[in-house]
Amino acid sequence: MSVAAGVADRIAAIRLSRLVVRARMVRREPALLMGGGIGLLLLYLVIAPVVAMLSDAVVVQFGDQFLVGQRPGELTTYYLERAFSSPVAGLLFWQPLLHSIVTAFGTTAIALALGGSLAWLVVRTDMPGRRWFASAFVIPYMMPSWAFALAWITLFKNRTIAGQSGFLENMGIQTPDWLAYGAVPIIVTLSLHYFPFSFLLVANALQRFDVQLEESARVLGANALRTTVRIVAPLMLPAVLSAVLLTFSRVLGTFGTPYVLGLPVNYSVLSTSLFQSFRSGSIGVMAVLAAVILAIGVTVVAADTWLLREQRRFVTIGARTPLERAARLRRWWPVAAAAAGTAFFVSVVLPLGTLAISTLMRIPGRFEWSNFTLDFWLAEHLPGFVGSPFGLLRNAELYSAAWNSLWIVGSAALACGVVGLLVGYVVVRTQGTWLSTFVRQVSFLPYLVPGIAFAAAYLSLFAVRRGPIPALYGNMSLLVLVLVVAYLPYASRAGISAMMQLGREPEEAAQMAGASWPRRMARIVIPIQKAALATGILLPFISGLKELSLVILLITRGTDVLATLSVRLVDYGYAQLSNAAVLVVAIFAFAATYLAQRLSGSGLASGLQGPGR
Amino acid sequence: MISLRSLALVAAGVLVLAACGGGTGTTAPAATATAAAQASPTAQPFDEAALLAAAKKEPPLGVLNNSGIVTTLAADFEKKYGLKVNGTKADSPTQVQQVTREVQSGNVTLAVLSIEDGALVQAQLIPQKILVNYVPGDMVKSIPAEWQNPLVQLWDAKVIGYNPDSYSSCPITNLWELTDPKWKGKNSIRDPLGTPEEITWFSWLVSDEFAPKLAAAYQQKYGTALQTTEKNAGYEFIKRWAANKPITGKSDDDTAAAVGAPGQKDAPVGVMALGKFGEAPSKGNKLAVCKNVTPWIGYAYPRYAVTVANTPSPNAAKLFIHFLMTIDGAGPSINDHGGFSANTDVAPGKNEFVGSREDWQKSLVFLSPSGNDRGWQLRQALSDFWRLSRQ
Repeated sequence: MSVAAGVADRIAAIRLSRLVVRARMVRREPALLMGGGIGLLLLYLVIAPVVAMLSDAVVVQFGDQFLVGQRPGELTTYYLERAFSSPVAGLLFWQPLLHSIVTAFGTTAIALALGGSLAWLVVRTDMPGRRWFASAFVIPYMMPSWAFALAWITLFKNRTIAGQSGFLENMGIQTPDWLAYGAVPIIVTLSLHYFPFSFLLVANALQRFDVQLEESARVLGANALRTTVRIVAPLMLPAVLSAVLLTFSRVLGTFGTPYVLGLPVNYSVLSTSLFQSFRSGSIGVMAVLAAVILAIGVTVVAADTWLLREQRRFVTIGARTPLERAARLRRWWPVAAAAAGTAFFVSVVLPLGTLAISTLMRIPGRFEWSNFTLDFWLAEHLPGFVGSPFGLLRNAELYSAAWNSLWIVGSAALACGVVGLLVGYVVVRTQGTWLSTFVRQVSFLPYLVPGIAFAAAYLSLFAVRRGPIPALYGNMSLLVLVLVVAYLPYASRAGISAMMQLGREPEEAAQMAGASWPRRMARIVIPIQKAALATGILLPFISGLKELSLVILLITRGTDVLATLSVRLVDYGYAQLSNAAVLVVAIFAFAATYLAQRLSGSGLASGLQGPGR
Repeated sequence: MISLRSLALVAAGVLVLAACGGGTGTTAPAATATAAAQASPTAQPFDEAALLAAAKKEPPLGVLNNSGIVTTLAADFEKKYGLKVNGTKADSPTQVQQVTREVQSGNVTLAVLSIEDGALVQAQLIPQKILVNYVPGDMVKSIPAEWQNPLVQLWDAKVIGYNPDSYSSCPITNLWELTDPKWKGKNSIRDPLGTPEEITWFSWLVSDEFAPKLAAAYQQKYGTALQTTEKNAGYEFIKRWAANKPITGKSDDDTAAAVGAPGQKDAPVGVMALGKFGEAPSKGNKLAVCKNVTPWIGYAYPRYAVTVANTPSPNAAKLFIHFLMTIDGAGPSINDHGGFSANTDVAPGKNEFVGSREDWQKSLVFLSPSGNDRGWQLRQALSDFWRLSRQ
C-alpha cells in the first residue's frame, strides 16, 4: 500500500518537474503557447462546425416534430431513412449521388487530358507563343465557374425550360436537350473552368522534370513506351494526382454550374439537392447530404495519400539540366498552335464574348440593329424588370455588393494571410511535437471539405448562441470567418514552406539583443516573409471574389456580394442583367489577379498546388 | 498531405465533440416550442403620431416581399413618413429561412414580411413566435375576421395564360387538358418543388370540397367517369399533370417568358400571376388570360403581412403594416398587377384584373387562410407525390 503510494508520489514529482521545464520552455518559446491557442481555435472553427452539422443529421430538427413524430432534439433516424431508403430517396439522394460522381469523374478526366496536353505543348515543345499561352491558360480559372454555365445557357437554351430561349434557338437551330442541359454541358463547362489546375500542376512538374533521366533510360536501351511507363509516369504521378484531387473535390462542392445547367431539367447533383433541402427547410436531410459530400471528399484524399505512399520514400536527386530539349514539332507546329489557340478561344473568348454580347441584346440571338441596346447597363428605367428596374450600372445594389465583396473578401484574405503565417511559425518552431502535426493537419482540413458542405457546417454551428459564442448568422463577420477558414489551407501552406526556409538564427540573434516576441515578429519574421505573406493574402482574395458555393447559404437578403447578386438575377429570370453582373465579377477577379502578379512577382502556379506537398 | 493516421485522430476528436456538442445545438429552439398554443393576438389600438415618434428612433425597417413591388412601397413609405425602408424581393423559402435564423440567432434585422406562404406562417412561424401577427386597431372592422390571423394584406391570383401570337383564342377550355398528350412539354408552372405556394394550391385540389369538382370536369370533358387508383380526382390530376412534363421555372417570370416569347407557332400554356400579363408588353412578351376554363381558370391566393419577433423597429413595423393596409400600400399592387386589398375600405384598383371576393370565390380556387393547417400537413406528402409522379 505505502510502496504504491510512494511510487505514485515520485511519479507525480517527475510529472511536476517536467511541467516546470515545459513552462520555462513556453516562456522562452511562445510558439508552443501560441500553437495551443491556434490549435484550440482550429478545433472550434474547423472541427466543431463539422460536428454540429453531423449531429443535425441524427437529431430531430425544430419544426419537424409533426413529420418525425418525435420531439425536437431527440435522436432520430428519420433523416437518414428519408435520404437513403424512403420512396423519394432515389430523387433526393441516389440520383444526385450518381450525377455528382458522373460529373466529377467526367470533368476530372477531360480537364486532366486538356490541361496535361496543353502543358506538354507549352513546356516540352517549340510551339510558337508558348510564353503567352503559359499565362493565358490560367485565365479560365480566374473567371467565376458559373460564368461558363451562364454563357452556355445563353447559347444553347431551348424551349424545354421556361424563360427566354438561347441564341441558337432564336436563330432557328433547335438544340437537343442533352446538349442544352444536364451532364454534358456541366462536364464541358466545368472542364473549361478547372483545366488550369491540371495545366499548372503538370506544367510545373514537367518543368522540374530532369530530361537526363529520360535520356539515361534511352541510352540504357529502353524504348519510348518503357521510358514513359517506368520513368516519366511515376515522376509525373504526384502532379497528376494533385490535379485529380483538386478538380474532383472542387467539382463535388460546386453549386453555381449545376444550379444553372442541371436543376431546370431536374438533373440534380448532391450540391443542388443539398441547396434544395436547405431552401425547403429540411435541415436534417441537408446535413445528411453534406456529410456524404464530406465523406467522398475525405475518401478521395485518403486514396490520393495511399497512392502516393511510395513516392515519399525516395527523393530524385539530379542536377537540373540547363539545356532545353524541346520536342521539335517541325511541320506540325501549325496544328499545335491551332489546338492551343482553339482551347484559349473556347475557354476564354467564347464565354466572355457570349456574355458580353448577350447583355446588349433585347431578344437573345436576334442580330438586328434594332435589337441592340445599352439599356441593360445604363437605362434609368427598365420597365417590367420588377425588383431591379434599371440598367446594372445604375443599380445601387451593384455598388453595395461590390463594396461588400471587397471588404468581406479583403479582410478575410488579410486575416487568412496572417493566420497562415502564424500557422507556419507554430508548425515549424514546434516541429516534432504532436501539436505541430495537429495544427498542420487541421489547418489543411478545410481543403478537402467541398465548399457547400463547409458552408452548411458553418450554418449549423453559428445559427444559435452556443455558450459564450454568439450566433453569427445574419452578421457579415460569419462570411469573413468562413472565408478565412476555407482558404486557410492556401495561406498556411505558403506560411509553412516559407518558415521552413527560415532558420532560427535571425530570431535568436534578436532575442539575444533583448527583442520581445512581438518585436521579433514585426521586425524580423514578417519582413523576411513578406512574399509568402503576400501569396497567403492574394490567393484567398482572388478565389474569394468569385466564391459562390461557400456564401450562398450564409448570405442574407439585402447584404449581397457580387456573386450572390448575379445568382439572384438568375433567379429573377433577368438573363441580361445576371450575365452583366457575372461579367463584373470576372472583371474584379481579373483586376485582382493582375495586381497580385504585379505585387508578388510570382505566378499563381505554386500557390494552387495542393497544400501539404 | 494529410496522413490517414491524422485523419483517424481528427475523426476521434470529432466523435468526442459530437458527444458534448450534440445536445446544445438543439436546446435553443426547444424552449419556444411550447408556445404553439398561443392564442391569437388581438388588434391593438392604432395611434399614428405615437408610433411615428417612436419609430423615428429606430433603425431602418427591414422588409422582405414576394413581389418586386417592394421597392416602390419602400420609396412611398419613406416619402410619407420619412422612415427609411430596406425592401428586398425574396421568395417565401428565402424569407422563411432568413427570418427563422435571424430570430433564433438573436441578430434580427427584419421587421415585416410580406409573404405568400401562409401555411408555414400560420402553422409554424407564429406558434413558434418567430413572427408576430399585428392588426391595426382602426381596421379591425373593415378587414373580414377570417383574414386577420395571420393578417391578409391583399389577394392576388394565378391564372392560365396563352400566347395570342400562336392562338386566336385560349386553346384550352378544361383544366384536364393540361394532362393531355397534346400539351405534353407545352405547359408551364413555377416549380412546385422550389416554392411552396403551388403545393398549397394542390392541397386544395385534393380536398373533399374541390376534388369532386375536378372529377365532374373530367366527366364533362371525356364523357366517362374518371378511373383512378389514387385517393381522389385531385391526386389523379396532379399525378397526370406532373407526368405531362410541365416546363417548370424558378419564378412566374420564367413561365411568362416560356409562354409569351413572341413569334412562337405552338407556344405552351401556363399558370402565372396576374402581374405577368400587365408587364408583358414592356418585356416583349405576348400574353393573354384564358377566361373560360372548366372548372377554374386558376386560383386566388393571399399575401400576408406579419411583423418579425424581437425586431429592432417594432413601431416602424406597425406603421408599415398599417401603410400596407391603406390605398397607399395596396395601390401599386392592385393598380399595376390586379387583385384587391383585404381591407374592404380600400377602393378597387384601376386595372383589367380587378378582383372581388365574390367573383373570385366563384371562378377560382380560393385559398382561404382556413386551409393553411391542412396545407402545411400535406406539404411534404404532396411535394413527394409531385416529385415521384414527375419521373
